[in-house]
Amino acid sequence: MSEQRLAGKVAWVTGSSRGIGRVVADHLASLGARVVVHGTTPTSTRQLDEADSLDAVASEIAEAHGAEVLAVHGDLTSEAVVTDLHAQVVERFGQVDILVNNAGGDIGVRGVTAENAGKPVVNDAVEIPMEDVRVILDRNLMTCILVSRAVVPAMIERESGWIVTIGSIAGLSGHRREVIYATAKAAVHEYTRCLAAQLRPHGVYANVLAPGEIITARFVASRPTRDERMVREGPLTRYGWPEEVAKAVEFLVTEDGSYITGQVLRVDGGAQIFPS
Amino acid sequence: MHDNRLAGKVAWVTGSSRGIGRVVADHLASLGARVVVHGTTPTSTRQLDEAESLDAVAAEIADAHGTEVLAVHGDLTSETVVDDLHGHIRERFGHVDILINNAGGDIGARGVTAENAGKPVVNDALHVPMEDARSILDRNLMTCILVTRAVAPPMIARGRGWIVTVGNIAGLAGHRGAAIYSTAKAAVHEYTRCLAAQIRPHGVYADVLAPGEMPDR
Repeated sequence: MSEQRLAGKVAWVTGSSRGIGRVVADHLASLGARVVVHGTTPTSTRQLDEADSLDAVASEIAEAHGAEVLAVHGDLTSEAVVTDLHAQVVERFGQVDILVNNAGGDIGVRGVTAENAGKPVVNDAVEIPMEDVRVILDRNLMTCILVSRAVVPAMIERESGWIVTIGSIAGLSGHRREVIYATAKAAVHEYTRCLAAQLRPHGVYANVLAPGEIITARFVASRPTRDERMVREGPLTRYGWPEEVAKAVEFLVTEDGSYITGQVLRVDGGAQIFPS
Repeated sequence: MHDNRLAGKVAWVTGSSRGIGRVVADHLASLGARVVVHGTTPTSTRQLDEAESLDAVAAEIADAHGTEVLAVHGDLTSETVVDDLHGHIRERFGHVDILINNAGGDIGARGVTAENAGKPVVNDALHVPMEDARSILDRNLMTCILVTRAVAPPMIARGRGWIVTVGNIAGLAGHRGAAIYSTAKAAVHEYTRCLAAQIRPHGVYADVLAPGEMPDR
């Protein structure tokens, strides 16, 4: 059915036990990729009742698409854990062709199961607790740096590879809330642009997707939502769906995006119009 | 001579023992501000032979412009040090009107006295040692966040203040070198933009200057 344009490719999607990452992993599998799903723990999936376990997510994707799926779990803010997980992936699949740096979120020290899905209660530039600041920077920025450092050198050697960092439109303008999250996302945007500059002579791509408001279990749990925006079609003032982010990932990691690197592509229905 | 347009104002310039920060501190003093100079240690000034000591820098600025100058020193990546220094300043001058978030630089774990003034030897996105990556993020991003958190609330309470973060054009484009420095500078640009959005109803300003190549010493 699907055209298998990623047949033979291996894709690692960090933070794919839930939310956008899970849908991206499923979509890449539907295109024929062998997929690595990842969560912080084997049951991160339960935090917002999205699945029973990471293994269950892996099985579901494998069965739906007849794809090979590996599940790995661990804290990507630890260099030793990242090295270990990367070794598990290489042992099973030999290499990583596509890395989706998706793990992250505006989730403070209390974790995603706290009220408002873990958003810091005070979430501004000045009064946010420092423990939340450090956790949000680690969760969004250090994970991206550490996983990229582990995975990309082998892509350079093979002169083939695609990196997609999931940023956020939050990091592209100034606003009073989600300040440290926005700061961390601006940082991963810049890190990925620098990565692209370094990788272009080697035929390796690095781009950022900057989603707007995307409907996930965490999105719904973390804020009041408006029913008239929870629609699949219609005015672009609606919310977006994870599948729409997944299709943009497909664009960047296939022939469709063959001359595109170092970019930050908003997937936000025009919520921000350049230069915002 | 000078029009003293900053008469009565108090300006704290972080990382002003050397380089751009020192010249900014001197200039603000020339406009009549009372100035706080800051270095990591009392002799950070010697690292690139710019002055004998932070006290000497303070005395030079004070003598040149007939202004009050306070010298404070300490590691701004430590929250307790920042609170302590801010306490010293308030004790001496009462409050801070102008904060220049200038401390930072593409300086790795070996410090500014290492070859190439401390730039990481390998300075790309992939192979820069993690101790350098952490040092550069702390030195540029955490210092800005910690000092701002300390200084901004009284500005909001008084309904007046100016914050200038010294960023860098490096953080505005992608390039192969200085990747973590650029990442940190992009982060302080965004942090300062958000700060501006938060404090504009209170009459407090926040802007970024993004210098290009500056021949200091």
